[in-house]
Amino acid sequence: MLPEGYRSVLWLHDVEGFTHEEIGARLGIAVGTSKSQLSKARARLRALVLQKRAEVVDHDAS
Amino acid sequence: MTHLNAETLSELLDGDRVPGAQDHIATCGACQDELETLRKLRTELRELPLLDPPAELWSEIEARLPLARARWRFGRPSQVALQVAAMAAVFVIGLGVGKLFLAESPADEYAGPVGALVAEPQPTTVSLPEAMAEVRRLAAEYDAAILNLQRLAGEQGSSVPPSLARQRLANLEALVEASRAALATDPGDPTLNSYLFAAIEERDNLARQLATARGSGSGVVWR
Repeated sequence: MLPEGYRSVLWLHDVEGFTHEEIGARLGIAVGTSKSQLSKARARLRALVLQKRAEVVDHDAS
Repeated sequence: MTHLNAETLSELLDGDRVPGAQDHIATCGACQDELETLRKLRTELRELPLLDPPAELWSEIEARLPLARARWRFGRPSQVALQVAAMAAVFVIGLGVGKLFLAESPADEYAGPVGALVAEPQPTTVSLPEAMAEVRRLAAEYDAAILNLQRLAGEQGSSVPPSLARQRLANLEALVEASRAALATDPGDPTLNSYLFAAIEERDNLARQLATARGSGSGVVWR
């Protein structure tokens, strides 16, 4: 599961479509922080999803 | 070949122009694949169905609200009062760690219920101006402690014992929980959200450092 901070920025940007400026104003964080949190959230999500898919493949193979 | 890092890939995904990155990705299959994976994930995320919250969710939240209110003795927990309480928690925790370091306590074990520093409210009713004055006083002490901490860290090779790092980890965990508890009463509060973000990031960074230090057997570098 993604940490809450990552999840909020990821959701607001990639799903709700807010800009980093809007996210910064909404959450009281700097634009740079929002961008940084988003890139970390995407990388973490990618790792989690790939791991989960690998588990499913292993489970189906066994 | 050095591949693009997560931050640059994220910027490219958003259509930003990053000097040098476009040239690299035009010739690097691995980075192209990575960017495409991120693009697909974003699409999948957008297409996720919205889930209806369970019917009992609101009643559970409502049941927690009076408990949360009772924790703060500022009377009715205005947004400002909650912000002040969160600020105080940050400074008190920082001060506690600073003093711990300055005292050169070995702190081999977890020194005590640090969470109490956060979870326990002021023992008496405090007006907002008084609370602000106290926060300012703590902030000044905290700044002084941090200066001393940096000086001592420089003298001691910029590393701190793992035991102190574990203590700090416990403090950060307590701060995360305190921020979450405060957010339960005002989920949209930007200041509390920023505290939560900062605490989570700091906690995760320190946890990673501790894990690395365990692997190498060395001390933990103070950030």
